[in-house]
Amino acid sequence: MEELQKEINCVKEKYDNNPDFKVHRFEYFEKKIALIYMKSLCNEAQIKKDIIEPLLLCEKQGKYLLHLLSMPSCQHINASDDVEKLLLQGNALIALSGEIYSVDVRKPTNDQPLDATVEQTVQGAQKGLSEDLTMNMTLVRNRYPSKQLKIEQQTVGTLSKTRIAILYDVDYVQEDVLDEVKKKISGLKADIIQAAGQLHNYMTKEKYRIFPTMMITERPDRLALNLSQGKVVILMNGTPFGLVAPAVFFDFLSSMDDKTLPYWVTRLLILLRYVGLLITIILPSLYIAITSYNPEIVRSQLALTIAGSRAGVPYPSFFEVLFMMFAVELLVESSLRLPKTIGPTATTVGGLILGQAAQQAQLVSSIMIIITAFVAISNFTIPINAMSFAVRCARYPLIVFASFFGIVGVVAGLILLLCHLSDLRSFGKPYLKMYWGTTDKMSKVRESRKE
Amino acid sequence: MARYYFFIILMNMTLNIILNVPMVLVENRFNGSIMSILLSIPIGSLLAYLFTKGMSRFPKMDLPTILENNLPKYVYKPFLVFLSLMWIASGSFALISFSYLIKTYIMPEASLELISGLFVFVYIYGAVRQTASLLYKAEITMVIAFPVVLFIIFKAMRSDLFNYVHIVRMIHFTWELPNYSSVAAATYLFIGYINLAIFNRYIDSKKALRWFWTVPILGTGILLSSFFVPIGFFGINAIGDIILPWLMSADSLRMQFGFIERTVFLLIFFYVLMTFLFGMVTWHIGLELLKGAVQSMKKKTWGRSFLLIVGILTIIFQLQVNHREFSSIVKYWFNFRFPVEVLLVIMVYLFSLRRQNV
Repeated sequence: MEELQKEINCVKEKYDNNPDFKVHRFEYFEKKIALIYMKSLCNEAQIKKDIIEPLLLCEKQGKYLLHLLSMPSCQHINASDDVEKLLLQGNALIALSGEIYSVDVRKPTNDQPLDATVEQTVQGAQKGLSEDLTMNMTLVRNRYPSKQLKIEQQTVGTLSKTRIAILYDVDYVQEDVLDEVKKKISGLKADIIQAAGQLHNYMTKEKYRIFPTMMITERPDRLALNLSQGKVVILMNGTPFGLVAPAVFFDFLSSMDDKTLPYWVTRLLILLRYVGLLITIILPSLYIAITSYNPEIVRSQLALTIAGSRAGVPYPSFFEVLFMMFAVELLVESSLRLPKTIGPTATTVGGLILGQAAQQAQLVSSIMIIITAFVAISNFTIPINAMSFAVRCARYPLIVFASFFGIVGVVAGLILLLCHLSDLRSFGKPYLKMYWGTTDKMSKVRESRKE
Repeated sequence: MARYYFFIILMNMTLNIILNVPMVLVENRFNGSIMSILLSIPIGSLLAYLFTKGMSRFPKMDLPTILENNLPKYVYKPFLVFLSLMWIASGSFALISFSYLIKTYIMPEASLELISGLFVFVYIYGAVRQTASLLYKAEITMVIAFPVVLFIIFKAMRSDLFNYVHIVRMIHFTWELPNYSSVAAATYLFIGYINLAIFNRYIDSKKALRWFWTVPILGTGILLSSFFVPIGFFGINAIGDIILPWLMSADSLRMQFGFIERTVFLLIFFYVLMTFLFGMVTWHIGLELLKGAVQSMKKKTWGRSFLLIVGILTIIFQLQVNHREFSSIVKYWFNFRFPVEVLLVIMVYLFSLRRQNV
């Protein structure tokens, strides 16, 4: 035990200047007792309730030790344990007659489930994950009360030591994916990891990536569903988002509402999303191709209408498109980052400029205004935010292609996009590939478990 | 994964109108084209069957491995290089004919080098992807494009300008002796199976054989429609003056209520999709075959620079010849390709027989 004592002294010296490092000494059972903990990490009310009050009630030291050890989070420390690490994880150390015990009295931070704000549903569950890992595990366990659910905990980040948990259903999980996830997490080289998206970035090999290859979601019901589909879920402390691997392209266009609404309503909504995806990707480049290269493609009346509305516009169409796309991106970006109170101002001013003034000043054609609005709103139909951002990026190469090669360039750009997507792999699974058969059949929980 | 086999075959079949097959058939229409077509259906299907059957005895193996196991080194390496060039040539010919087409119909102001340059870029980008990715892409493209092609054929048959009388007149020339060029061109429709040379790594050809009966049926339908539909539009004599009969027939069609009024644009868009796919597949297989023969091609930069050189050569070749010369070169190429195809099929089939005996 001398080693331990030495180590504690060492820690004490190291942290003595820190105002939140607390060494509390008192005497009881005619012996010296020391209580060491980090004030900022620990719940002092719990220390009082679990450690100090029982001390006063116990008349013998043996009885008190029995009480301590009966607490599930209490452990007797051996010389090999890292005292410093335990302290930083929010344990209180009790030094009592030469022995040291640690009790987990971590103060939970933000452990209330937050409202689902990023990925809302109309009639599904309204609460998302919380910012506390333990609470998140509880949430998932409540939705997936299977004895096959396995949780593995570890930390990532050399400095941040962020706690993460890997969850999977032992029976359904795809072993190759699980192995790859574990391999990638153990091979992580990063100091600070604080968000799910950041972990995703570090876990993918490709540095220059547009499309997300892991699903980022805040919905416990989606996590539970994905667990039953044999996917691996990663939860992280300090962020209300979980990661799911593998994720394919079609997952990013599915909403949890698809499960709750009637069949034909769901089909219609899904169709709407795919049409929206197509519109938001190709409409700007199609406009360039049709106005500047091949007005004869569309029927003559339409070609004349477009030409008429562009009559006063003094520059080529690609400039017009870039100008309007730029304005919309600015509007979206500014309303994202602004404080809630000034947000409406930005949208009103921006909306006015984009909607009316630009057209009346003949800087852009009125058809372009319609296209801009179309592109912006159809971009918002994509249910998963990460994909919506990716699609925003993906349409600019197409605009470039259209400016150089016209309509053939648009088709070529689409083909290149298709090539890129079908060449992506999400943890060994093909990212874009046709799956034949209904989604219900594929995601159905099998009655007989895998052998 | 057996379904990809049929998508690749379908791609080759539908793309025949770009690859100048109707041109050859129309040229010989009075000298036995119909007989050649009728003859080429069993020949093409038989070749396809034998090759698929042969490859199904080598599960998960590609052509370079098979040749390596069965032939001495100084035979199989040059042969692979030769085959690889054949594959790349077929992609390049598609590139050249399509860039002529685009220049005529869509971008008359653009220079030919620019259009071909775009094609080369897209070909290379697609060709250096993983083999499985190409199969996924082939499926997606065909699922999107083939219904449109069917729609255009349907629209053509329902058109007022389409006269069955011309077709009946053409059928009078059935009992002529078939000629070699027409057979060589018409069998080109069935060539899709040959891509199994590399795709056999992923495609379960044994399963594909179970659905093999669809191949002759599809082939007959597409071959007959690609030969007879333009004749129905233009008559048996006037059709001889046209280079791309199908494009012109599609241009006679009008979609009264569509956003796009002229059907020919619809045809071109979806054929661009398929031509890109065709080029990617052929160049990819060319590169993979070359990798089997030359080790250093396995490096990324080497493979890419090889394709780049091939692409530049294609563009130079295109600038050297005019459209008429190009068409006659394509005819020679059809004639030359056919025996090579037969040779390869027989070779693989014999090897597979030997494997069974062992």
